[in-house]
Amino acid sequence: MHSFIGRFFRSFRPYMSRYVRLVQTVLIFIGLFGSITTSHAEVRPRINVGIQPLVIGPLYIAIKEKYFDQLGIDVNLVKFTSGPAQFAALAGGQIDLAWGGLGGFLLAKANGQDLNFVSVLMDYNPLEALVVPANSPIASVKDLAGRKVGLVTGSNAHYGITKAMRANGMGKGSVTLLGMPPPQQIAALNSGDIDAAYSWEPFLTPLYANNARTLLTSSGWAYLGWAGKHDWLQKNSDLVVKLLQGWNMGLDRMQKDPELAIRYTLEFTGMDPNQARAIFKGAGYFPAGVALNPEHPAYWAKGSALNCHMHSFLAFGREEGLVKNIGDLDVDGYVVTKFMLAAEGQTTPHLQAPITCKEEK
Amino acid sequence: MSTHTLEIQGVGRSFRSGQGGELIQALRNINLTVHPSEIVSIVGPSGCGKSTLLRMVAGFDQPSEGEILLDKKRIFDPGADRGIVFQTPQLYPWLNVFDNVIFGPKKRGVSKESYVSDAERYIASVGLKGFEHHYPYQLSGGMRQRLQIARVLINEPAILLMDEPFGALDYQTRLDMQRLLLELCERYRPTVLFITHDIEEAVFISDRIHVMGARPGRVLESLQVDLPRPRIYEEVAASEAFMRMKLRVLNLLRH
Amino acid sequence: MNTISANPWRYRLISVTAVGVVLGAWILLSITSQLDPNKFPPVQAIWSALDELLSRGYSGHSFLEQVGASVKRAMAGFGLAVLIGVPVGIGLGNRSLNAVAGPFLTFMRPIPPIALIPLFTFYFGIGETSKVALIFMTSFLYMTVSAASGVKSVPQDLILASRSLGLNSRQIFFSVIIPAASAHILTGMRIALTLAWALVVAAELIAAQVGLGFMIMDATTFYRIPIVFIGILTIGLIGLLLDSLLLIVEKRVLHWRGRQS
Repeated sequence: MHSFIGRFFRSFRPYMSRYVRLVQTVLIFIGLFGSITTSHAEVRPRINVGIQPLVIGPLYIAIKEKYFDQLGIDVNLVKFTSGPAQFAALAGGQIDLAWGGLGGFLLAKANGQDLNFVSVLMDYNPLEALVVPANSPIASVKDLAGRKVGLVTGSNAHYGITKAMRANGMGKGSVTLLGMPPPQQIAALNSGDIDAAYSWEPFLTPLYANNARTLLTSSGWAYLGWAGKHDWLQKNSDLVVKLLQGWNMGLDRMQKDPELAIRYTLEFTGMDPNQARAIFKGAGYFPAGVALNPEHPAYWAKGSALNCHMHSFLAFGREEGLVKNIGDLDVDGYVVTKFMLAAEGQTTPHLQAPITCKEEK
Repeated sequence: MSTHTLEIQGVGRSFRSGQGGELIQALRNINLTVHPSEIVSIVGPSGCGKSTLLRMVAGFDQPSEGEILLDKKRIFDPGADRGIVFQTPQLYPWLNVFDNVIFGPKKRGVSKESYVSDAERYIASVGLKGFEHHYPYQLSGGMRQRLQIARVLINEPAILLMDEPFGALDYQTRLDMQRLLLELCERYRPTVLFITHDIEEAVFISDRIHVMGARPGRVLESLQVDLPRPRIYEEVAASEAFMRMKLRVLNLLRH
Repeated sequence: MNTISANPWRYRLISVTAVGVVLGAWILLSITSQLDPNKFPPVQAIWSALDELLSRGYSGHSFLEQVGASVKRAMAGFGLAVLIGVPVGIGLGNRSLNAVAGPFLTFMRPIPPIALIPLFTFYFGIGETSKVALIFMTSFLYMTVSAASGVKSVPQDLILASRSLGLNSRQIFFSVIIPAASAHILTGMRIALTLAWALVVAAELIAAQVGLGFMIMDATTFYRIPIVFIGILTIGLIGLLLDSLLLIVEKRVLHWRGRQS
């Protein structure tokens, strides 16, 4: 037995140097791989939040100025370059909260993901626009008849143009709506493959740089904030509240020191400084409790303007076949107020007698 | 090395052509004996089964009928007692000349001092002295064949099997190799079974020639080559005895 | 005098000149503002973008970190593919093993890796595992083929000759078959490395936070074409470097192949 093993290993010897070198190189690769995946022990509770690269000033400030550390939580920022990838990660549990628009997450909820929106934090309406190239003969929405418009299917933009077409008495097929991701819209508009694009920042800056003209901007429905799975939210209430409190602290700081928002945006994203500045100017930032304020356009209660927009967004989703058409969905309960209340230190919301929304024609 | 006898008794080999095809008899009733230190050639046209026969002696294949005995023991598997030299030298391209030659004994567990000195001796006797560190790709066709021979001889096989070993070489090199083979045989006195279709080659080197016919493969006649040794090509090739032997073989092969 | 035509330096000079001409044309067009920055960035834009990348990095990581992250992923996937793929490929020489594993491997081979991204994201998450797994899978499938064909390419007569030298099956496997197959295996490794590197951009579509592929995709979002260009050029250069490194290794280990292809 001994001699067998001895001869077995001895038979390797002439090839030892060559193969040992090979195995060594491979082992180094494995080692590097291993080093990537080692994780550090967690001290504070961690919350994984997904964002797409935007000028989310208060959030970046709160992270960099360590407000979240002070509040006792560890916010892990996970960047996504596309909406679908972010949705998938939220669905899979790889992120706990996702930053995005009210409408998009509502459609996801209608498709079976039990999501809630926890707070309205940014006004993106002025930063979403339907644009045409500088030399285009198109002057209004009516002129789009028979033309091609690029947009992201199911987005605020899609909702916006559908509303605008209906308001102008244009039938459903009168304008060709082509679904494509924002970078492709830029290329297609530049090359003339589409006549107009309905997009949002940061994708509008390159178009404006080419003197694109705005036909209309979103108004009333393009608000951004955090969405998460219902079950996770229930179990991690205090983490959510601290996230919102951190946001408020970041917002305060930002109002005193706006340059900080730009600086940190450049560190968290690959944005160009001028682009970041232009977007920053147009965006509106709110404290966590703004949806509790009946005076505010982003007020959320049954029958409020924003609430009605969301009802009509869901109807739009159903008509376009973007959601499974099963029964009723609790739109009113989609945005939950308890986290906002806790963050603002309030106990009961201002109540308003429930109003039903006007039916859109 | 020179005390071994090979006996091929009543050997036949049949193959089935394709799936469920007919039985083809490649060899029928082959009987021949190779005595110790004899050089025996098998000459025949292509397809007469001479290579098949050699491969069965090597142990790569089994006869359908009859037996092959080495020193009265049946042959089943390949082994170092039956060294084989292929027409295309089957060398280890990643090993140099020296390492190729010592490969056999080393793998069989022979002591290092023993195989190193043997290797030097055999490398010198095949005329590759000074090329020990060359790799096969750096050698000419003739040199590669010499290397193959040295690699087999170092194992001191009971019988040396050669399958048209010089067939791929040019005329001059072939003569050189035949000369080398005779020198080696004179020095080490191995028992040799040699396959060729070159009649002159067979007559020049052999003690005995078995002439085979094809379809089915069988021994037509066995001839004793009574030319005296040592045989110098320039003297022997023009002699009458050589010519006569050559014509006899030719006639047998003609019909 | 007639050996000049066989001089390799002559051809190297021609190559350098060709690249120089193209570069020169690009510089000329840039200086004279002939290039549309939306379609093809002028040299000045590339230069300032490069300067920014080297000094400020991109999206919170230095340029070196971006490059390093991608290289690490590719090497990890490639390394695993070789370590696991070569034994599996050799094992496929066994008829029963081949009958069991063969159908699955053959089926998976033509599937484009990009199509697997959603599945891999679900199964392996959005961390390093999913990216390395994607790269591993493609390289692995290729290495098994290389190794298997390497083993098959060993001439039957060489094995028979080895038996006639007195070797047993185990000795033949380790001392004859594996060295003989090593030529195929090393060539396969070079191609597997190219595959692994080419896949890095695709793998980084899985929510990468850092890396050359991430940088390219992210910069596209902001329409920063010069950065996209730099990313692509860097990927090409590193791919070239990696291949050259392996070529050197191959030449040394396989020195005995001589000048035959």
